This record gives sequence, C-alpha cells and structure tokens, in this order.
Amino acid sequence: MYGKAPSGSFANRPSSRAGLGSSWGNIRGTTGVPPQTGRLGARPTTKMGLGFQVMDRPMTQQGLGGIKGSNQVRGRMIQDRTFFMSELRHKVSLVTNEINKLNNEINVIEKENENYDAFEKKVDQSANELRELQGQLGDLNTLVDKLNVDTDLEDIERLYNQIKIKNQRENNILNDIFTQRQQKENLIRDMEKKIEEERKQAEEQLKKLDADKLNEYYSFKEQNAQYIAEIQQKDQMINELNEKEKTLRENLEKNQLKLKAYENFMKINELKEKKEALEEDISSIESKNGPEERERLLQKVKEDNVEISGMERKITDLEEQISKCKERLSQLDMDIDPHQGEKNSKYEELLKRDKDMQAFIDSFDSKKNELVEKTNQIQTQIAESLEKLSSLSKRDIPSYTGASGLKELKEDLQFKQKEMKNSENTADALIIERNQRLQDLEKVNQLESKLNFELTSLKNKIEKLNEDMEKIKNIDELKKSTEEQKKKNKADRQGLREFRDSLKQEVAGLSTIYDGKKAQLQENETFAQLGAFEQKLRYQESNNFHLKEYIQTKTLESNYQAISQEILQSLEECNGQILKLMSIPPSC
Amino acid sequence: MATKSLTNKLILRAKCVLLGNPAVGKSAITQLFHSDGSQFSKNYSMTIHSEVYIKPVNIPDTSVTIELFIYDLGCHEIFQDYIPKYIEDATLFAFVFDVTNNDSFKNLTKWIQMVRKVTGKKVIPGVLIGNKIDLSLRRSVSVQHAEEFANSYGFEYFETSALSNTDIEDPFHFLANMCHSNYEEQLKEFIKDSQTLI
Repeated sequence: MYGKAPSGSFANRPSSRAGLGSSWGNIRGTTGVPPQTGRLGARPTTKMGLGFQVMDRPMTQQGLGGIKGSNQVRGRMIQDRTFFMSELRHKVSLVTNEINKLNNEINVIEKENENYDAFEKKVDQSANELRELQGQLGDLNTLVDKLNVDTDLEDIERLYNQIKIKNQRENNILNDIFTQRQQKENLIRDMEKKIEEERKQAEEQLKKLDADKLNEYYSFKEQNAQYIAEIQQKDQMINELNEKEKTLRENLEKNQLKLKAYENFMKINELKEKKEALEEDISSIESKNGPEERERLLQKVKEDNVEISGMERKITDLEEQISKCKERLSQLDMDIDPHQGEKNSKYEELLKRDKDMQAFIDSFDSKKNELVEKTNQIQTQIAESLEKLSSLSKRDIPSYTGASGLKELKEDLQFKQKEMKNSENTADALIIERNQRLQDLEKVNQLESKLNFELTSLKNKIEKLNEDMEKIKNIDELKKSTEEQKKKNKADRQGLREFRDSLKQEVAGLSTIYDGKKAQLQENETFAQLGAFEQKLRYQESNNFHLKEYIQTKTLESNYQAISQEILQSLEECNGQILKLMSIPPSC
Repeated sequence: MATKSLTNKLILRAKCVLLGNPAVGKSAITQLFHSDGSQFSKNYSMTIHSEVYIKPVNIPDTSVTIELFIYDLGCHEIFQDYIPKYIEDATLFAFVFDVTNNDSFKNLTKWIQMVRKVTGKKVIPGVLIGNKIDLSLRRSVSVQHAEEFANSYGFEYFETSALSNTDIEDPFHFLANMCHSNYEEQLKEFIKDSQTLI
C-alpha cells in the first residue's frame, strides 16, 4: 500500500528544489505541525503543485517542477506496509514532541501570570515613585528658573512664607468646614432619629385605633396616594400646556397679523366678560326691582337734571361771548373797510377794463370781417376806376402821337445824346489832366526835400569853408607847422631806417644762429631717431585710423537692425490689414 | 595781434589754434581752408607737433585783411605736454569734434578746460566745429545737443564736412570777423583812453 521510506525522503527533497516542497518546508519550520494534510495534498502532486507554483514562482521554473513531480509519484508508487508504519511512528514521535513543547510553553505562561501580580504591585510602586520624582523635578525646575532669573533668596523665602501662610489659612478653613460638616451630620442623624420616633408613635397610635378606623385610614392613605399621582399628572399636563403656549406665543410674535388677531380675540373675551357682568347686573336689577332701586334711580335723574341745567347756563354764557366776539369782528371789518374801498375801486376798474377787453375780443372777429369786406369793396372800386382811367387814356394817347411831335422829339433826343458824349469826353480829358498835375505836384515835393537836403549840406560846406578861411588867414603859422611836421617825419624816417637796419642785422645774426642749431640738430642722432619714430607712429596711426574706419563701415554694413525693424513694421501692417479684412464679414 | 598798413590796406594778424580729439579732421579742415578746397588728403596722416598755415581773409565792406595763423596741432596723447605752449599766446580757438564719435564730443570739455587753465580767461573767443556731417547714417551727436553745448560756453556752432567740402570756410570767416570786431572795439577804447589822458 505504501512506498519505501528512503524513496519518500528522496521524493521530498527534489520536490523542495522544484518549488513544490518549499511550502512544506515553510510549514514545518513555523508551526511544527506534522505534514499529514500536506501529504494528502501531495498525492495529486502535479495539480496542487501547479496551483502553488502559479502563485509563487515565475513561469520558467514551473515547467521543471511539473516534470519532477512525475518523479515523486513514481517514488510513491512503491507502497509498502513497513514504510508507512515507520512513517506513522515518526509522525507520532513528532506529535509527542510537539505536545511537550506546548506544555512547556503553558508552564512558562503560568509562571508569567504569577509574576504579573507582583509586577502590577511593582508598577504601582514605581508609579508612586515616578510621581514623587516628577514633583521633585518640578521643584527643581522652578529652582532652576529662579536661578536663571537671578531672583534673590529673600524673595524666594518671602514667597515661601506667603505660600505657607496661605496653606495654613486654607487648612484652618478646611478644618472649620470639616467640623461644620460633622455638626450637620449630627443634626441630620438627630432629625432622622426624631422622624423614626414619630413614625413609631404614629404606628403605635394606629395600632391603638379600631379596625374600622384603620380601614378608613388605609382607604384615605390610598386616596392620598391617588391624589398625589393625579397632582403629578396635572403638573405634567400644566407644564406641557405651558410649553405649548410658549411655542404658540413665539409663533404669534413672528406673525404680526396673528398677534393682532390674538389681541383682538383677547379684547373680545374681555368685552364678553363685561357683557356677562352687565347682563348679570341687569338680571340682578330685574330680580331685585325694589323700591330702593327706584329711589336710587330717581336720585340719579335729579342729579342729572341739575347737571343739565348747569350745562345750559354755561352754553348761554358761551353764546353771549360769541355774539360779543362777532360784534367786535364787524367793528374791525368796518375799520378795515376804508382801506379796502380804494382797492375795491381799482379792482372794479380793472374788472371793467377786463370786460371791455373781453367785449372787444368777442367783437373782434365780426369787426375784422366787416373791415375786410370794406377793403375788398374799396379795392374793387379802385380796380374799376383804374380800368376806367386806362380806357380813357387809351382814347387820349393816339390823338397826341398822331402829330409830327414824335419826330421832333427824336431829333431832340439825338442832339442831346451828342452833347452828352461831348461833355463826357471833356470830363475824361479833364481827369487825365488832373492826374498829370498831381504827379507834377509829387515831383515838386520831392524836389523840395532834395533841395532842403542840399541846402543843409551846402550850409555845412559853408561852415567848413569858413573854418578853412580862418586857418588860411594865418598862412605863416600853417607853413611853419607843415615844415615842422616835415622835419619830424624825416627824423622819424631816419630813425626807423636805422632801426630797420639794426633789426635786419639782428635777424641775420639770429638766422645764422638758427641755421647753426638746425645743422646741429640734423647731425644729432637722437633727433634722426625721433624723426624716424615719429614717422613710424604716423604710419601706425594712419593704419589704426583706416582699420577703425573699415571696422565702422563693416559694422554699419552688417547692422541689420534697421532693416529688421522695417520688415517687422511692414509685417505688422500686413497683419493688421489681414485682420481688418478678416473682421469684415463677406458680403455674400 | 599786430598791425601793418600797406597802401591803405590794414592787415591784422591773429593766431588761431585748432583743438580736438585726434582723427576728428582738424588737419583736413585746415588744409582744405588753406588751399581753398582743392587739397584733401584721403589718407590719414597723423600731425606731428603742429602744422602752421597762413591764410589772409578779407573782411567785407572794409579795407581790412585778417591774416590767420592757423595752428593745426597734433592732439595725440604723446604731444599733450606741448599743447599748452602753443595755446599760450593764441587769440582764437576752434574746437573740432566728430559728429559720429561721441567720445570726441565728450572730450571737448577737457580741451576747453585746458585752454581756460593756460590762458586764465573764462570767456574763450572761439567756435565749435562738428565735422564729418556727410556720414549722416553714423551720426551720434545731435545738432541740438551740440548747439546747447556751444551756447553754454559762448561759442558759435558750425557743422562742416571736409570730405564733401561743405561750409569749411564759415567758421574761419566767423573767427576773422570776431577778431576784426575785437580790434575795432579795442581801438575805440584806446582812442577814448588817449582822449581822456590828453
């Protein structure tokens, strides 16, 4: 029935390698439970193994496992009684070991439990210790704070004393309260005792009473209890109703209309109550209807009459006063009248005018019509008379033109026209002449100014001439002066010539010196070198300049920014125009 | 300033010094002016120490001729030590800068300070010349800017171009006129003083 032991073990080993046994191994390691179930599961091997492998392993190893599983099965195919017996024994031993282990564990746990109580006690102790230590720590902390703040010892002592005193006081108070409490408790005990005594007394009395009375008493007691219950119920009801009322009131306050309605309702209730009261009165009166009532009524009537008469008197007084006031008013009116008279007259005049104007306006249309008619008539008359006149004149004219007067008139006209032309010609000639004269006048004026100018210049000349004449008068002096000047000039000339000669000499000397120095310079080597260097420098500078020029021109040439800006601007314009075109909706 | 009368013609002589950064065109301007626009060297040749040109300028409506002794100084750094000697007895100054070169414009103050230091005068009789206006593309100093600068120092501002020979003579004529008017004023003052002395 079962296979060999060694083959089984072999079968287990490769399976573990293949990944099937890995789950077994794990189970053994952790729990130590015998793998009986595992063995049952291992029999179908490949299927179970496949299930685990899919979960645990990557695909490449799975195939191998599957193949090796077949090997296992082959190992177990050799089933032997001895093999399974040995296997069983082995497992039993494993189980016993496991049981021992568990027992040991249980023992350990029990010991631990025993220890637990001790530990709890210890915990309490250590907690107490902790508290104490914490208190100490707090004290020390405060001390450190004080030290840090540099408070004086005296201050701390003072504080300590204060706190001590406070503590004492509070202790005293506490003691007082404690004593009071004791007293109260004593009192309460006394009271309770008394109550008990009374109860006892009451019970004794009850016992003393008869059976009937006892029954009665009990019934009363029951009733009392019932009443108390009822009262409680009613109280509850009242409370509920009160709450309801409150809620309703709140609702009412929210709604004004309802509030008014409520008020009105209240009034109605009051009025109803009054009405009821009055009705009751009436009924009482009716019921009584005695002579007393009559007398009372009579008295009231009398009183009322007296009052009425008083009122009437007052009314008469007031009427008199009113009449007086009216008189005064009329007098005042009289006083005012004269002033008003003028105004009235004016007003009346205005009224009259107004009436006149009104009449005029009313009659305006008719009058206008009349006048229009009249003018029309007159126009027609005039037209008629004009026609008549024209007819008359027509009759007269041919009689006048028929004669030779016309020709005469024409001749006259021609003659006069000729004369007219002549006169016009003469007028033109005269105008031209006048213009000529005017021009002449202007010329004359100009001449006059010129003459004046000439005159002044001539006068100046005359003055000059006169001065010269005076000079010429003493010719000898003049001659002398001229001779002197001549002499002076000659002397000057000679002096200057000499000076010039000397200067020339000096210049010649200086030039010789200059030439000498120049020659010296030319001979000097450093000068020559300097000259050469200067020439070199000049050459370099010119090179430098040209290079700079070249660079600048090139930079200018390569300066694309102006062009780029132009292009950008034109681009923007183009874009703007395109946008405009786009923004205009197509006509179709 | 010396005077010399020859057959009714009055000749005044004045020393005019050109100053400004190297390579701004001082020599070009002076050569052009001296040769009446016929001489213009296209190649740059640095001026060593100085070149002196004598150019007579006629003052219109008068019989006065001003002989300008134009000192074209080499303003390279090497010669800066000599410049004060040339400036010492000069009567007219022309400060030249390159309108395409901002440094040359900025350096003008340095030159002006130098002249002030040497002559000891606050008001310098001179003109400001902006050269190379033909290079309008490369221009970096605006007319307004230069005019403001010139006004702040009391100079007249001229723009020239030696290459295209435009307005080269204007600044020199202006200097000559200035010299003449100065002379006239001094003469008048002298006459007045002499009259008061007599």
